[in-house]
Amino acid sequence: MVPSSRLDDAYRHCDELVRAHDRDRWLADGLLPDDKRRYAMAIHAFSYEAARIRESIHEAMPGEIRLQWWVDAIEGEARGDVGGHPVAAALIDTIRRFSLRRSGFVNLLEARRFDLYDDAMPTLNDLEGYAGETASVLFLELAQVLCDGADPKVADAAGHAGVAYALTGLMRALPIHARRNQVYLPADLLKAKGIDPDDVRHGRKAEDLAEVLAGLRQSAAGHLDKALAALAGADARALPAFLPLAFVPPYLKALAKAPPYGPVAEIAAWQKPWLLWRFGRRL
Amino acid sequence: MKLSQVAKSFLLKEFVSGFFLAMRYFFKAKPTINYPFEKGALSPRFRGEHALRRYPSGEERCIACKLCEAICPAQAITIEAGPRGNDGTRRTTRYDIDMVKCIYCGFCQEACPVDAIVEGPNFEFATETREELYFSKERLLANGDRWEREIARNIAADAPYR
Repeated sequence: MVPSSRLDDAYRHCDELVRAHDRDRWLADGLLPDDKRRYAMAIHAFSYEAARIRESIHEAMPGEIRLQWWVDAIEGEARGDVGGHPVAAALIDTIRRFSLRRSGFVNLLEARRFDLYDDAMPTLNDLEGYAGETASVLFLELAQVLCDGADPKVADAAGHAGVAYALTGLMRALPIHARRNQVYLPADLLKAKGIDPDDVRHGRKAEDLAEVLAGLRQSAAGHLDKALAALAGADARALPAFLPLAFVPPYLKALAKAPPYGPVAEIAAWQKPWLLWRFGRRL
Repeated sequence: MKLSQVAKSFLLKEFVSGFFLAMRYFFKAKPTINYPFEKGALSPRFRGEHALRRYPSGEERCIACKLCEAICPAQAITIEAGPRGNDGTRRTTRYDIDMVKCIYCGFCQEACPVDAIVEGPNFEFATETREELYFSKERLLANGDRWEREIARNIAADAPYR
């Protein structure tokens, strides 16, 4: 067990990480109840740690090692003093405190293995699976934290919410991914428009790609609607876990205007708290 | 000989154009730098002298997982771990890098789950004896303290482009 003074440091470190690197979720976490906020930061800091692995490697092997270390850390048999890693310490404390499912986090790491290689995403189904494992799990586990470990009855909503959120994020990051040779757009949809994944990597056929992206935007909007509809039967305490969805519609709108390989679609920073507040009232 | 050639050599055209070329470079900014006092630009991805980092709280980052030791293709890293004090934490008691063996591939920093071992921007650590290139944990931590600002800046600058 990690002593509580060091856990406080660990949670503070998570807060700083999320604040610096995942601003949208950090803003949304700010509206959670005071006693639950730090656990949300731990879950989101873990998501950031897993997502940034690709950014810190230049070959797949060290990435595999890092992912495996995280899998071992969550399953409780990692090498080294796991309590010394602030994010791991905070996450494991959160998992224990609210009896979260470890398998969800392990699946997230398994899905992130896709990031390490430059293969194109084969089908829309695979993309939705990837989105589900990397983003839906965050909504689901945070909802369980907000319900003090009780079943929040939001599995369906979390599934759709994660796909909507992740699809939006992947479309925004398309210019960055393309430069890194990564293609998250499903190859079957690209092929239907006569686009080869290599065209995306080299920034070609922007007009055809815009049609594929329009389809994906519709799909993301559809998942968002389904998620909001599925939230009707959920535990009311769990609803704030879905606050990051507030950014999906404005991002989709910004994406519709932005060129596919252009600058990353953004919404003005001053609008974000306002969007969150308005969405929170609707939830 | 053609007439144009005669005219060129009579009017010293090559000589005059050569003179103006020399004068142009004479007044241009110098591309050379005064090395030990001035340095060229370094990529944030530059892999130089190793350093062990700390958290802002002063806590050592390294958690003695030995993944850097395992991945090091030159087997330049030697780690021994043991309990530290009586607070239940385990840290390295020995962390040596043989800088003569190191090939600066950067795998150690890439495999490190806590970003403890990094290859910093320093490339000026030439020594007079071989023994001085066997870096100990104290030396690596001192490097980390000395270069932390540059290292943190480089990590942040490089992250979006990997």
